[in-house]
Amino acid sequence: MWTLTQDWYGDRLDPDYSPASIETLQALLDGVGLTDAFWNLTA
Amino acid sequence: MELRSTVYRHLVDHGAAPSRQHLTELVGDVEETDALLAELHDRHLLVLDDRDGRVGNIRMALPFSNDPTDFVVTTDSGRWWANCAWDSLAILAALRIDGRITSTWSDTGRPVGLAVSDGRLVDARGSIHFAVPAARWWDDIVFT
Repeated sequence: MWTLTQDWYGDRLDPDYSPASIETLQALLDGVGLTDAFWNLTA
Repeated sequence: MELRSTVYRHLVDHGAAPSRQHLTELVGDVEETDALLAELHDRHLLVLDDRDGRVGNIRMALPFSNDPTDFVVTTDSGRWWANCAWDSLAILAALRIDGRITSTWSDTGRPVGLAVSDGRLVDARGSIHFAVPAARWWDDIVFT
């Protein structure tokens, strides 16, 4: 969870922050094993 | 002025988001301020308040809450409220500093404490419950 959180929110305070794409965020979830349908970011 | 960055900087420095009035003073025009905030809200970059007496103010700048919550994040630099357990961790991740999280176990009501030290989560036991499927998080982000 901590690794996921760092990857997901680590740049949130950057002045140049730009939201990650859905694909990028989904890959973060996949990367920590959250691959069940519950974790699909798109309906 | 980049409004989103200004909001987050104020929140980090003061422990709370700037008020709509404060932002209007910075921007110089109330309609422009409201339009900028609305755009950020629509893009899910901020969450505006819709409660009586608070309309147009910032309710959340994820992962930070602008309201007191049971999730308190404390570092040597300050103290903030998080919206939930995950956001508590996210605040420390976003700040990129060590700190402590205090909250209450939802099942027992007992206090819980977490800490990040040297960039690592210390003695992490327990679980975080996600009640809403990911695709629906933004259906009602306040509920989520």
